[in-house]
Amino acid sequence: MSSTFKFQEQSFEIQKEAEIFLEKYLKRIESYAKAHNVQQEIVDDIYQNLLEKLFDIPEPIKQKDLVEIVNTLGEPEDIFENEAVESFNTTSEEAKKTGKNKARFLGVSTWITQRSKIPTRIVRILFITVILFFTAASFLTAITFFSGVGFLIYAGAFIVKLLLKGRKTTRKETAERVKGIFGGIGLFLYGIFSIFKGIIVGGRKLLGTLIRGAIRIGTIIALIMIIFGLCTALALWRSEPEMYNQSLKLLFTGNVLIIFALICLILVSAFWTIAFLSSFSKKPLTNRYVHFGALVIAVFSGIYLISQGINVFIAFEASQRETISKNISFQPTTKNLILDVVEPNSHGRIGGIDVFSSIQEGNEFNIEVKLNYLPLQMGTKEKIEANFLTPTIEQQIDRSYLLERKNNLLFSEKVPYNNPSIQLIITLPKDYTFQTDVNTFCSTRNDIIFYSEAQQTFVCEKDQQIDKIFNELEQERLTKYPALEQPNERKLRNKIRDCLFDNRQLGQNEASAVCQKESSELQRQEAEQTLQSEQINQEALEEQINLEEELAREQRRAELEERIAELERQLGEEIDMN
Amino acid sequence: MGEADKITTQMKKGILEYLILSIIAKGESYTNDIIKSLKKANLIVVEGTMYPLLSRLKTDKLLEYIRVESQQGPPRKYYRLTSKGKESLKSMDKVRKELVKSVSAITK
Repeated sequence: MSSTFKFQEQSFEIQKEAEIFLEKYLKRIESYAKAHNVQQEIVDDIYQNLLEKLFDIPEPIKQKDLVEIVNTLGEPEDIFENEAVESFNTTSEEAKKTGKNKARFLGVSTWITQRSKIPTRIVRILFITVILFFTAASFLTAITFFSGVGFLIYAGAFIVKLLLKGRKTTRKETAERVKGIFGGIGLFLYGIFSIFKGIIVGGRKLLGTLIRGAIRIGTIIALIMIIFGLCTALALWRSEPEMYNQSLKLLFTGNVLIIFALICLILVSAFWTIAFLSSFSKKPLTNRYVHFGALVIAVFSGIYLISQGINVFIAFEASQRETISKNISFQPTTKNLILDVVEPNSHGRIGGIDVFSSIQEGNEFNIEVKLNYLPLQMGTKEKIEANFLTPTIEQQIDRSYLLERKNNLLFSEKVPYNNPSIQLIITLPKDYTFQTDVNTFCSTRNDIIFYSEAQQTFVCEKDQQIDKIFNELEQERLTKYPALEQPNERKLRNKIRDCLFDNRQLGQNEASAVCQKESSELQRQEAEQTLQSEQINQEALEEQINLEEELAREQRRAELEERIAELERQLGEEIDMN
Repeated sequence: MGEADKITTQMKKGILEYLILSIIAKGESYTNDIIKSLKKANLIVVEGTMYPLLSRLKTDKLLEYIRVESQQGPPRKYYRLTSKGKESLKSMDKVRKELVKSVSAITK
């Protein structure tokens, strides 16, 4: 009768009695090693030898085969006969060198040294590194925002130390304890501590599986982002050599802080990558190709991140130097608002323009933005035009990145833009009251460097004059056209402003015409109706007059006819008398 | 075990570390290769005793190892001499020659 026996992550078919024999042998070795503080590494080596011997014998494994193996390998007493038992409290020369007995703060680093044999100095440097730079995308953000993750690691290690205080434990037990405590804190921490212990994310339980999966997914995303970032960096390097050359100059001219930050980033990246790659293996990770791969990834990502950090540094510096208001002038003859937005001797590429404008209510018009700049290549002057539609009241006009515009608006990627001379012209059809902010900036897609900004509020100086004319028009309307209702005040004022802007003198007649023209359709219809009504009344009156006159004429005629008849009668009587 | 056996064992043990260093000096060696060489020379019987010896030599910084992936189980340790190990081996060679001379002079 045989069963399956698992040893060192491998499965073997083994007879029952042989299994019992093997288990007892392994237990004897474990017990002896634990009781005599034998290094786990020696036990692991013996196990590996045993494993290879098990591979060499046919399955199912029989007890007689195991007896031969045990005779060859030896019993624990024979193996460790002359082996000096080492204690964790050793005072050897190495211990003095690594500072094992000199606890500085809570004794966490010395405790890890005792367990892992990593020199205390290295452990302390690693802790300082992860405390300062653990999640930093660049050294500047690291300095600005202490992530504090390193403190969590230190605190977690202290908890583990307390839990294991006074107990003699094997490395496996310690590793299990560390995994249990740090499993919930974070994936990064888990990977780091797994490396400390030399056992990478082991275990087959659900938690271990979930953590391994999360590490893989997280790292795949991180790697994709790094690759994407590297591609972006490469593209920008081609388009902005000046900026990246400056980054490299800063890096290779002995800037200690930057170099130190780069080393820290590389270390962290390497740890993380090794943890990631190890999560795919059930065996302790020692493959040199994996380490080499981790190193390559770490170096590339580190260089990329540090270059980004330098760009941010340049951006801060440039921002402090360049963020000042620029000259704004208004040309009444051409109606152009001109802003000199880039100072001489600035460098980099103009990545885009933001125009923010708050315009007085009712002033609906378009603003045309013209941008002229000089690239580094002499004798070539390029002109870029972009139209910004002005929306209604107090709304951002547009946020336009020239890179996203059609081809003829793109800055040529092959032209290094050094010392650009840029003038932004906003063509104003009216002298409306409004406020405008114009920013031009150098963009590296990830980081934005503002090179200049300009802000100005324009107030219409003709407001009083407009009020006067408006009042005159109102008076005119009331006296001359009493039947008309009050017109739309805003539209009337805009019309008045138009006339003033064009330097046209408004006479009363023209003002009345403007007023009449600007009246609403209803008002116009009502006026017409009133006029028609008056006309009807007049006609009725005239008709009545005509009728009355006709009646008067008829009456006169009747009177005349009666008089004539009377005269004829009197004349007849005189004739008769004569 | 008789007195003669004990002395023989001690003699073999005394020279074992020197022989291990000599084997490794010929090239990077896996533990089983070292064991085979020593077994062939009838210098060890219990293979397990090799591991504490190798560990001690490594602790003394005479040896170092690299890990190489293996088809059978975990990666294998391949040992090689450190610069300190090479120097130690040279001085041991010198002592061995002197011992051979001395022993030959006395026992002939």
